[in-house]
Amino acid sequence: MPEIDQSRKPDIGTLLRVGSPGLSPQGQRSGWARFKGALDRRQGPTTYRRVVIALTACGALGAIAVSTTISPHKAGRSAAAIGTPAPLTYVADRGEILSDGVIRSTDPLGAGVRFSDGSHILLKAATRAQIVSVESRGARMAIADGEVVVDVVHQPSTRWRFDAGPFSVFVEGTSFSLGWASTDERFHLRMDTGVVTVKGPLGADPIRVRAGETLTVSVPEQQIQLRRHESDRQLGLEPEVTPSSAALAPPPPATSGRPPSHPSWPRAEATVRSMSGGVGRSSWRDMVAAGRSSDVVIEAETRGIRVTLARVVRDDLAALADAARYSRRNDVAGLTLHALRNRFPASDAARDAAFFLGRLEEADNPRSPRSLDWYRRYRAETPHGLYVSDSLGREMLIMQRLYGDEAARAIGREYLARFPQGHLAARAAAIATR
Amino acid sequence: MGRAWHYHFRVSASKHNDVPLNRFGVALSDADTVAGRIEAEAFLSALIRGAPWAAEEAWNRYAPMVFHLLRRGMGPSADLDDCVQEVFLRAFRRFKNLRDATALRSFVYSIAVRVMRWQLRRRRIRRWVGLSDTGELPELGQAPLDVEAREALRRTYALLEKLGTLDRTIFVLRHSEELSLPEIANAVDVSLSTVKRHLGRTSSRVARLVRADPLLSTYLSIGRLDADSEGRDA
Repeated sequence: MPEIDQSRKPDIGTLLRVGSPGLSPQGQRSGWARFKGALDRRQGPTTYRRVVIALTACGALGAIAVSTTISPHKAGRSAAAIGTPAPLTYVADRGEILSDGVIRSTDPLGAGVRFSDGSHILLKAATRAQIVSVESRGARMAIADGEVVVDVVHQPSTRWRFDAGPFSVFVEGTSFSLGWASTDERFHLRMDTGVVTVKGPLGADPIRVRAGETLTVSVPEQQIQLRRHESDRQLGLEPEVTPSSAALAPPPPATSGRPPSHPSWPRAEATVRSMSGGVGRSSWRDMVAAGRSSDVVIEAETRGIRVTLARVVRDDLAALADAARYSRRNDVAGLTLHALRNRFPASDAARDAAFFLGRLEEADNPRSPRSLDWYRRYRAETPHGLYVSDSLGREMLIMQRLYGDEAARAIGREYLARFPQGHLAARAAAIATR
Repeated sequence: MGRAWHYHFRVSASKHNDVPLNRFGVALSDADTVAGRIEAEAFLSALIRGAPWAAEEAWNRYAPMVFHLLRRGMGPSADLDDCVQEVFLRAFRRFKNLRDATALRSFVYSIAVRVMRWQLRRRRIRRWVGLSDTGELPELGQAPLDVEAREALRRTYALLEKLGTLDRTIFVLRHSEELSLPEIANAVDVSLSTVKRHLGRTSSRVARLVRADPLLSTYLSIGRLDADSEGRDA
């Protein structure tokens, strides 16, 4: 009998491995479908989920169709601009303004810009800012890092805008100081007089900030703080309460004995008011503005989330989405944003919801490809939306996390080309040139 | 109170490069970075919260691993798909007890080992009481083998059917999954000395059975079986 070379024969482990076919893609898919069914049965509302998924698909298709149809509105705006009076002029004070609008300080204490309508902007030391555009009714300025003190002269149809990182402050005639720290992504707005409207990546609806109030936002911690100035309280000033809002205000928290629902939301100091101009009760938007986000979510849960999502009006739905996000109830926030897109697909809030869904996915998983899908969908639906720069920047960062600099380079270049003063411009430049 | 699950990966160098590997041969670079840890924790958090995308991602990541283990350990079996489902249902019930998010893979793996043992024990009991599972193996299905290899594989599984549940599990983890002895002890939840004792005894018995089979004795190499039965490296 010939001697067999033992080294060329398989051992038992090799035979078991070679003889065991792996899981086929089809088997994996069918297994997942079966497992998903088991999970749904375990978690309960199977029918509801089916409806939500179907509505989400319909809503997404509807939103895409509507946004495609409505997109010419920007062209209309451009046309309206034709024939308008000459834009404001401006001069630098203790500094110079370069051809691209970048303000360069020649004084270590900071520079200033004085406009022909009497408005004045003071840049504190080491602030990096740029005048993006100027028109007859105002100007647009971008603050990359640092703090500015603004004094805008109020006139009819005033149109001033200040971009600070991912936030935008729309001014109606006022004086305030505005800061953006790019390193820790912290936004700070202190109002002295007048009213401004702030839009940013943490809320679907704008926040109105009035005289005597300070708005502080930490993007990484997703915390928003709206409070009265310390100096006002020392002076004995009361929060601004209009007659209608006074009747709508909830009982003072101090007498209720309940602790604040979130430490970063000082309920007693916040002014309760109706942004929509007077309703018959304290709306959820009012409660969010007053720092009572957790109460909004609790109220919705008490009613029943499914019933709430199916029945409440659009503004309340948007307020609930914000409240859930502020109180870190991402599960409720996700459902609400989906409901917003399903029920009101043509609304701005529904289009913005795509961006916030991306943020939620990213918060859950910083390398989630699904957040990429949402950011891209947001830009497809809202090519000139407020969060376009932020969604593009976040897509760049996710691509870098997922696939490295090489994959993110093209997006970094696009970001730099479109938003050279964007709050992620430095990171985009690093990625694009690496 | 639920049991807290702690799993620790063994860092070892790959045979081909210096990339550190965990016990399943997966590069550890991700888990070692802060971003990797954050991602792991965010993923576990999403799983516990019941995020649908996380459930699907977990399935896509771990179902092939679970399927492979069960297929090799249990052989061709009609209820293999049920076992995979069982593994994931158990895992999803217990994710909330997992403390180390980077140990998610080994956590799922350990549950798969438990389910495999439970199924093997159930199969033996059913055979004893004569309900079914006569010991005859079903067809090998789509195994990509020639005629001789298919017959060798069929006889090998028939041979494994003669082993006790714990012996068979340890044997499969050692020879098919190529885990180290401490890793087997961790996965099966017994002491290292118990693993050594069972592995030595089982390897010796399997080697004896292979030698007694005319086809297997010419087809299979038993050098590693002899080494394990003597408690030395092959």
